[in-house]
Amino acid sequence: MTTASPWPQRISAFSLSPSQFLSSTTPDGFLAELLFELRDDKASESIKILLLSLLQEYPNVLCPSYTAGEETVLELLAIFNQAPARAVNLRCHLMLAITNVLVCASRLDDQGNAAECVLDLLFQTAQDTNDLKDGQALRPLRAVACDCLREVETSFPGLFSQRLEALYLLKQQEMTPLHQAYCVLYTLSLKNAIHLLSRGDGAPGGDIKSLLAGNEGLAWKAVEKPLPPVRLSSMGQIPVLQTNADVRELRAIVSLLLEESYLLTPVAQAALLRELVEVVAMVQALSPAIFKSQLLRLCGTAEVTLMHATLLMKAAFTDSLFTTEDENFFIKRLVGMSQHPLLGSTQKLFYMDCILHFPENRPISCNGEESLPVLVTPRLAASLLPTVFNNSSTMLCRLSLLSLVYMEADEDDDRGVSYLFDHLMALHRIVDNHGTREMTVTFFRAAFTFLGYFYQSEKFTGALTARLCELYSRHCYLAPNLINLVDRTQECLGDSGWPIQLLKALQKLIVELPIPELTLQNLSWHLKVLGRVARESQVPQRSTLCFLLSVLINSSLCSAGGWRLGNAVLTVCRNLLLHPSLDQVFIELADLLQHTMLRYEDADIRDHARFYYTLLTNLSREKLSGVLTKGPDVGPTKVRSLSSAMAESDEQSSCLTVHQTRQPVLQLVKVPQSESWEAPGEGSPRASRTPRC
Amino acid sequence: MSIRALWIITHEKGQSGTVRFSKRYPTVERRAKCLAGRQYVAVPEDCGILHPLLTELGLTDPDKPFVVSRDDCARPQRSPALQLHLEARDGGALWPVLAIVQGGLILACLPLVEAPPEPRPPLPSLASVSQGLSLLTGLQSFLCGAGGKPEGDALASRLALLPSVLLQVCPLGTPLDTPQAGAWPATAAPARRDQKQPAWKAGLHRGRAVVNVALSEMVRSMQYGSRSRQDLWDVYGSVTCKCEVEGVLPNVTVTLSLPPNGSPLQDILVHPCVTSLDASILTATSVDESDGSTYSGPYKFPFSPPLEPFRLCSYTSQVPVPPILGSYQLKEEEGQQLRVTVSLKLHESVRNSFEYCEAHLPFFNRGQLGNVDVKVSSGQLEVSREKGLLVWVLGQKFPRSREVSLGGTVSFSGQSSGPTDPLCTGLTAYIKLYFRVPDLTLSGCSVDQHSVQVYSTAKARNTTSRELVSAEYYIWNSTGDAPVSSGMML
Repeated sequence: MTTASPWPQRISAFSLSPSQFLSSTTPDGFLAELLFELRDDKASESIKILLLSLLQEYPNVLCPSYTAGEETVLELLAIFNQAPARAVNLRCHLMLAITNVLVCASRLDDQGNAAECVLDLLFQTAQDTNDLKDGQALRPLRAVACDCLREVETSFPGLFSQRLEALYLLKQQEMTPLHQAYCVLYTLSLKNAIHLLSRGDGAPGGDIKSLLAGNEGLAWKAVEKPLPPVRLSSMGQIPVLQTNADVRELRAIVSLLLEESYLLTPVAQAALLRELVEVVAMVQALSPAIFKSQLLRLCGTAEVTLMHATLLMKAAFTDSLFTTEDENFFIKRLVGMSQHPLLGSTQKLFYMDCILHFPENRPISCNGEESLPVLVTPRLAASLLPTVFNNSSTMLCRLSLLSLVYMEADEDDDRGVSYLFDHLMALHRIVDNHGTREMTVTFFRAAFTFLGYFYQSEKFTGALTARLCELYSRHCYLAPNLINLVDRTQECLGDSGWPIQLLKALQKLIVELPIPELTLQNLSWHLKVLGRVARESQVPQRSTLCFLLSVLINSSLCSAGGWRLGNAVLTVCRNLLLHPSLDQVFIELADLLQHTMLRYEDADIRDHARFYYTLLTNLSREKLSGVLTKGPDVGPTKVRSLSSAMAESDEQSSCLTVHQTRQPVLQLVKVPQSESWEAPGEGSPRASRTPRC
Repeated sequence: MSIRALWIITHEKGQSGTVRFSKRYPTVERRAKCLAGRQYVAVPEDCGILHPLLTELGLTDPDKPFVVSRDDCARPQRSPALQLHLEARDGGALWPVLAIVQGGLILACLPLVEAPPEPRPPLPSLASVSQGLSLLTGLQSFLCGAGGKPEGDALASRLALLPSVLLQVCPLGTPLDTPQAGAWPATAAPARRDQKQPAWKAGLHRGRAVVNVALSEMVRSMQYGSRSRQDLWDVYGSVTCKCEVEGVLPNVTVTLSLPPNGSPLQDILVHPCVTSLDASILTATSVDESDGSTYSGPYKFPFSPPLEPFRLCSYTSQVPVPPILGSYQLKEEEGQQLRVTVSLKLHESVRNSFEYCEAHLPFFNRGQLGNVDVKVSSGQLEVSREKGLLVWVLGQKFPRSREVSLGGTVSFSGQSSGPTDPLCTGLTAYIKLYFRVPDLTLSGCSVDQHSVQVYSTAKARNTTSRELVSAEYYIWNSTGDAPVSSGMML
């Protein structure tokens, strides 16, 4: 164990990677060191606070067992009690560390001495409302104690469910800004108590009235079975408290909380509203109209948390709180905020997301997926049309939203879709004019998004194919982007012929290129595309083969291409060996392989070409595909197919199992200074290119 | 309504990035584990967060033009929430990570998902998300201040304050407040008997009452000088207040008024300290012209002010004319030479008294500026050859005719490389205007000093001010193509 290096360095090393740090010591040992230093009177307060930050953030790492956790809590409590009263900051951090260790690494039950001691301390500290006893200097500690209590109640819902009156009194008494802490603690405990009650898990014979008057100990029993979260988006699942009893008192409490919510910070207000929405949803005798007085203030807010709270309220109560007019107003508000010049772009993205998941009063479908509210018409959404001045995320989000709008709109009027396509073409122009890498990626994402919605419109997909080919003819380094677009559209738009259409067009473009103008660098991209084209059974391959043979014969490829380009040629050949129309191009492929195995400069390429040639000319189609098919993973089928390559009968093939090794038989390592024209991003040449037979 | 972890990262172009600050909330993590069950993905160690986050933000491997994990076209980049693919042994995807990028600074946090993880709940159904957004925005303004460029020592000293800031605003993962950009209130006030003190107001003001209301309006414009395309302009404004008034909850009312024929203020957003709002104030919106609202004030905002300066409200407005109407024509002449003609006209309704007024004419993709033979009818011309930029300084006043012009030829030295821009190729070019006019708003909106009402024991000294500032004010060359700047033209 090294104690030589000073604490700040050790702590930052720990934070960077606790697992690595502890590999040279043990949690016990390190924890003991921490506690020793914390007990040391000579250690500075700032160092102690740093040490405590570890206990606050990594209690489970430092106290891996309940026993260790409980002992640590008791140790920290002792340190807390001995700390000088003036050291408020240190004591705040101690209190936080104690709570974190207690909640995360210790057992919370009435048997546990530690838990009771901690809760006693927290309640004792919180009880000094208005700083009457300890004075203003200790207010920060009181704030921390309240938040610790709130965290304990959040972690063990219902623990304070029999103390509501006491908590209510504290909330009422407090006049300093700390009343927020008491208010939040009370509201949370109230909600959890009602939740317990609605599940029939509350105190025996409990009703709301006795709940509110509760002034007893802690409800240890409630903690044994954790409460599931209330899900407001699906009203059916909410536990409902069927009661005919008098809820006047509860209604008064909720009203008062709402009235005073103005005094809370916006984030705390949002949290309070959330809890109260759950309370009102669970107690059916309370009407959602109780929130009505707050709505206007909330709808006008610039605060994202309050706007969001309003949206959640809308989701919970729909038309029992929001009239059709309210709903209309609210959605316009969201559209306006999605493009407000004074809001940050992250917030605007969030508001657009809110539009796509808007809880309508009369939803057409409610599968939780993105859908467009009926109220969002092309006219309303026009302000969200994407432009080249938007940043990438905003532009893509707008494109997606507007695509939905125009999908639903009148089919005869494609002005909207035309606008989106023109926008796509504006991006195309930027990429064509050497836009940044980010812009290129954005353009392909935009194209993917557009295709996702309008792949059935031949007018636009045809034009897109043509424009992509144009782009490729000028910038063939975009091959990986184009192949990626083909792959993804093929995955996502199963029944669309567009990816094949694009591949055919690219193949045509490449095979018609005049060979004298080809550079080896461009050829590497063309081979990538042709390799991808060769995987498509629907694309005839003869033109590819003629082109390749012509290139091999008429260019410097054989002499100057080197291993990488040779390998790219072989990749095309390999894919063609698996192609269903192999029979039709058998001779051309054989010629190509023969030429390569005789003329190519690189010996490894010649060897492989010879190997493919042998496979092509000697194996039946089934065996050929059996040898070459790459499974998604090395599974049983792979074992079988490899074995059957070598033997005819079943008996023999079952003997010939493929043995897997942990160590790679052959591993290619990237040479630091690789040739600059290698497709960047593809990394080192892959070992899988080497046939493993 | 909590967050599981928070990271502050700095990232220089072409470098790997550094985690400058991180904070984990283990009690929230404990809840995350219970809620997610088998789908639980733990927050990675600091060393394991950097690469997945930078990959998702498109900031890794700057020298490689295409990396699937970073550039996949099917990646949903349009959401404010990122999904990080972790590289650790058991991998997994961390969602929803919220991130704000400002220059080389990245702020990120992971809100708690309080719902079953499968099927993935929609982002707006998670209350923690806006809490996380609000915390990040607050931290951003705390770290960057008003200057907006967090660097070096200034950033380091702000970062050093973060533990104590978080102790107050988010000690256990549930945000209690938003970090404030300004200094932390020094002394807390003792408790009062009669009135609860707002949680957003830690102290009390003592001394003379002063209320300062500043109205700042920004004007945007896109002018094409073309018959086929309509010019666009709009304004947006915000009212900033600094109130030093005694009392726990003093009442102040600020009233905005418009001239008799003014068009309504739209998209009004207010600060949460505003106590009540009239519904008619909120109905006008820029997104729906057919709303038919004709309410044009007065706009009353009763509020109880916090101690620090705050934005009381903001609005947008459609104004009938742009303050400066311009035309710009470029013609290509023989041998790398361009003939430039510009004219600008100040509208008669706009006060001819600028703090500054400049027109910038950048030339892209043509190499550095060579010979510049350009005359201006007013003001001075500054030439920045390396930047390929002409700056026409118009000064404080337009001439009596309110019209100015610029004309002549510029040529380029083809060899040396100049500024490039993929948008402005060929004859696609623009002039950008920068100006500020004190004591003016284009919407006509104003705050009368006497309309500021302060209900307090001492009489308040009220000051009000207003200004018009340009923002994104472009005049496009009418002989070239100009990009579409708004779908509203559809």
